[in-house]
Amino acid sequence: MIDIRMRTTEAIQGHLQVGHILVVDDYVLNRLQLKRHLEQQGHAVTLVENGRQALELLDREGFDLILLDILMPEMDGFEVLARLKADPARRDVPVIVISALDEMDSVIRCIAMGAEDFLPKPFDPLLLRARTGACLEKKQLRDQEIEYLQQVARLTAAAAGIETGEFIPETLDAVAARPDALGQLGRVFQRMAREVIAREQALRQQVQALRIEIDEAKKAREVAEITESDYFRQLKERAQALRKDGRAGS
Amino acid sequence: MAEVLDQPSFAALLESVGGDAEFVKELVDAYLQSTPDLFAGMRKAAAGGDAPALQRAAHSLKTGSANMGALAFAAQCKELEYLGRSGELAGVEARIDAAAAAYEDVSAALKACVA
Repeated sequence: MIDIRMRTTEAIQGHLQVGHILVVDDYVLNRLQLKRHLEQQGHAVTLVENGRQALELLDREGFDLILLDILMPEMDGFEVLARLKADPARRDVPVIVISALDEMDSVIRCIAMGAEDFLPKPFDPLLLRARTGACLEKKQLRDQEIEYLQQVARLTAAAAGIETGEFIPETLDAVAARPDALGQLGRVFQRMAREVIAREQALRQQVQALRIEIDEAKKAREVAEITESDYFRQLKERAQALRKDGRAGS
Repeated sequence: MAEVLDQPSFAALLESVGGDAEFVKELVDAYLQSTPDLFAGMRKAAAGGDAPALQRAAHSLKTGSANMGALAFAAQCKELEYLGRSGELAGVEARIDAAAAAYEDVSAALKACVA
């Protein structure tokens, strides 16, 4: 039995994720034990005594995981869970409910409300390690997925920006820095977009130069139209005649 | 009659913290310091007819006592917790008195363990 636990410990330690964990429990003994075990596993731990304190803290600080007691004064675990899951900014923070084994009805209710898992009291350090590790790993994967989707959205926004002429290549720097296939797509897209922009700028300059030439030719044509008209010729002849008369008179 | 402290449970507590006797002493001290407040909370809840408050205090004392290996006392706390959950508070003061008397033995046994 001991050998199995040692091997399990080694297996879990090999894949352990660490994070910032919020422990919400009104009983000092539970807080002390959880803090001790979690810190020994390498996590950063913050302790609060009830649901209200937890929500106030969550307004100011981000956590990777919440260990939540169910029966608490001020605000119980059910209400904390309901509020967390109703808040789009905090609904993805995983919650493990802390419960006695004779509270399975409450545990089931919490899991139905969105809790990730439960941890029975008294705490088994190995089970605590396994469940926190699994939750943190899932959260990390979820965070990566969200970041991936955000960067795909940047690429599609860039494609739309090219069509409307509002694309700024630097907006793809973060995508292009990725080491994976999306990063390669970002780099290729960024390079091609820069080439398209450079070509557009060169074409714009050529069009501008052509416009100037066209404008000058147009002006020359307009001048010619005036100077070559019969009316202009008559005016010119009258002017010459007037100049001649003026000279004869003097 | 069941022993006041279940030695295998107390040994499991020590094992769970890697044999750190100092930390176990810290836990025992925290348990002994917090228990009078929990009893006060139960008495106040019983006097005021506040069943949820009785349930919460008895629940904490139940889990803490089971953690310390005081299994028989934890069972008494569990009964108080159930009374709180059911809202049936008739005669609960006498049960709290009985639990308080049992706690005296638990307290003495724990102090002896960490002395």
